[in-house]
Amino acid sequence: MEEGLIIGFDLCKDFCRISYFVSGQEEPSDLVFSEEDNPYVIQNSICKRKGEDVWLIGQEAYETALLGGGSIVDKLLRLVARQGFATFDGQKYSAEDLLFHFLERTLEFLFAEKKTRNVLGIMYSVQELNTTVLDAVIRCTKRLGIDRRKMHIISHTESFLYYVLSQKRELWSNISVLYDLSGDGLNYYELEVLRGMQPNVAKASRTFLEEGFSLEILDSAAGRKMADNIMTSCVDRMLKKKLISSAYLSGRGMDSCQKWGENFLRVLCQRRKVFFIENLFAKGAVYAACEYLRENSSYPFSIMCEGRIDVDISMEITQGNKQQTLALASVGNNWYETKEDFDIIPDQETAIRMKVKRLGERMPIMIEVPLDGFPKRPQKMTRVNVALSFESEKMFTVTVTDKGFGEFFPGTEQTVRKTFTIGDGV
Amino acid sequence: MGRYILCGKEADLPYEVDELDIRIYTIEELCYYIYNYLPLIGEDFIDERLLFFIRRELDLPEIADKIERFYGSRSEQDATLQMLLSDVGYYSDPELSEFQNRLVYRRRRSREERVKAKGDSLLRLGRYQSAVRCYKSLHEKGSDSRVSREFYVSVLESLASAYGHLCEFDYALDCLLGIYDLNHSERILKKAYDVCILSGTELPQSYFSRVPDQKLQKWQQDYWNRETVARQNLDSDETMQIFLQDPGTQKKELAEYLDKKKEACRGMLE
Repeated sequence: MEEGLIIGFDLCKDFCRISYFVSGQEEPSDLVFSEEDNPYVIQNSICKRKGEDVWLIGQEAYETALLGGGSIVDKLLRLVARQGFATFDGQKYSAEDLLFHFLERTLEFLFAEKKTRNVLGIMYSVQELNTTVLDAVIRCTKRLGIDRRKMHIISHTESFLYYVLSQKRELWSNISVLYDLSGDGLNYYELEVLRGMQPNVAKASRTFLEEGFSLEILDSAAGRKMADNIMTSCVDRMLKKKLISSAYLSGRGMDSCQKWGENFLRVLCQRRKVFFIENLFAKGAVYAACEYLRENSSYPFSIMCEGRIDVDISMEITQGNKQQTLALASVGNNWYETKEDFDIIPDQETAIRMKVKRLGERMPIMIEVPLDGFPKRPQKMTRVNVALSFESEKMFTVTVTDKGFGEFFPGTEQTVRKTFTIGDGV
Repeated sequence: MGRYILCGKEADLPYEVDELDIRIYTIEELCYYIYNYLPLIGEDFIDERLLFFIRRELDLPEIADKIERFYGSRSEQDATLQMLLSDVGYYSDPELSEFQNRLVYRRRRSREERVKAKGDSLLRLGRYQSAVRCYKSLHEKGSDSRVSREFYVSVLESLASAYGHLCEFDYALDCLLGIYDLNHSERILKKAYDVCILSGTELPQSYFSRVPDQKLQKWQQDYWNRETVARQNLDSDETMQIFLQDPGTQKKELAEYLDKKKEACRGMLE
């Protein structure tokens, strides 16, 4: 493989972590940002030094702001999601601009440490697949000069899946679980490989646990006792009847669990292999990035998890003289990355028809986007652009645009758009 | 049962069809042009320019190579066109059979008939200068023994029509009188009369002195009737519609219209 960096970027609401892989390494390494409390974490905050074009991030941003050296924006991703603005030195910056500077400065840590700027692949792992945020992240990364084909985005659930499946087989032969405790709450992840299907399905899911607690309660003895009780009852209730091959712990709340979770760890470790993994999502993202770079998959599974779709969408088309099925989306595809755009000429058809088949269902359902509103022209004299994209795992949109037929029948660029919800008759 | 034809790449640099003053951007448009404008397809249609367009602009090297091999070995343009249309799949089997029949019909015609057919197509498309060029190339062969007198007459009549559309009434009149010299047809003389009235030209006495006054009056009445109908139809004329647009659109469309006319005039001078 070419020399360069393969980056896993865990982009959470309030902080981020980076793991990376360079040629010759067997496992991903974690990037150290500072020698502070948790060296692997950097807060999603950015500060512009007063009167200078200097951007500071994380702890340095807070310190500069405290000393009056500039103003600060924290919880940056929340601002990006709101498409908000911030003003520094009397100049207005969009949240996306700030995100760009934040990503630039963050990656600069890595480039400086590894003395290379050659990025072979970058995989962002995010808690929530919010289209506004994802689009902004992609645009900013492109502005950094990284080719679009080298960047991808997955969910934390998928990062967990890739992380576990990259470990020894005995660790995922049955169910693998993860408790992630952070400032955003307590999330439970579960991975199971469903055998007997062709190919086997690796299915992962995430559950937000209402029992989650604020990390601040860990500051008091009573709080620590309560946290231990909560987690013990969670494990007891959730894992009792399951055959668990491995259990993982991650997040800022879990790095000190040996201090507050004596009972919890005792129950969890009964006949189970338990690991605390720093940067689990970032490491999983590195493994996923490596997978995207390979020509042949090293994971012989069909993947089902948050961020992946559970439908096949196709269209019957004619190419040359041959009748063919054009696959537009397949079970296991990442919804955010599933985008199709192609031109067709309907011949004796008044609508665009597609076949949608959900995983586990026998018969496909036909969906259609009518072309009634387009100008009437002789048969085969209308070329249309068909674009398919997903808004989430369960929702996709088909957009059809009239392109006419060259200069014989100029197009109107008229558009018909229809959104379909999977499971709602589809 | 309907179907969807998956389209290929759109060219950045189009293939220009001078006869139609149109640019072709896709393989489907190219097929459409071949299928619908067959009389305009000359014997030198398959050339380096076309192959470059298919290979590089449409990114279809397999088709370009196939044409090159097929045409290179047999030099049969018709069979190559048939193969191209069949490979692209834009036309159905019945449509391809119909195209095959038209190719056979075209092959049976003489070269002169094919040039005349091309001129007629151009005339129908309003490409009068190009039509004049086609007819003139045949007109110059007037004394050629291979061309029948009837055919020569039909070429002259079409040439007169093309000149008429270009408001070149002197040339149109010359053509019509030339035909009359050959066949003494009253129908042609009446057409020559119409041209004279329309252009305000004095009637050539050597031709019209023998026509009875009563007949001339009838022809004049007939001309007026047709002129009235033509004036009424002007309201729905495409050119007149330009003047019914709002000032902004009118200016833009008028500029486009004038550009087209200027281009046509330049074509005539070439």
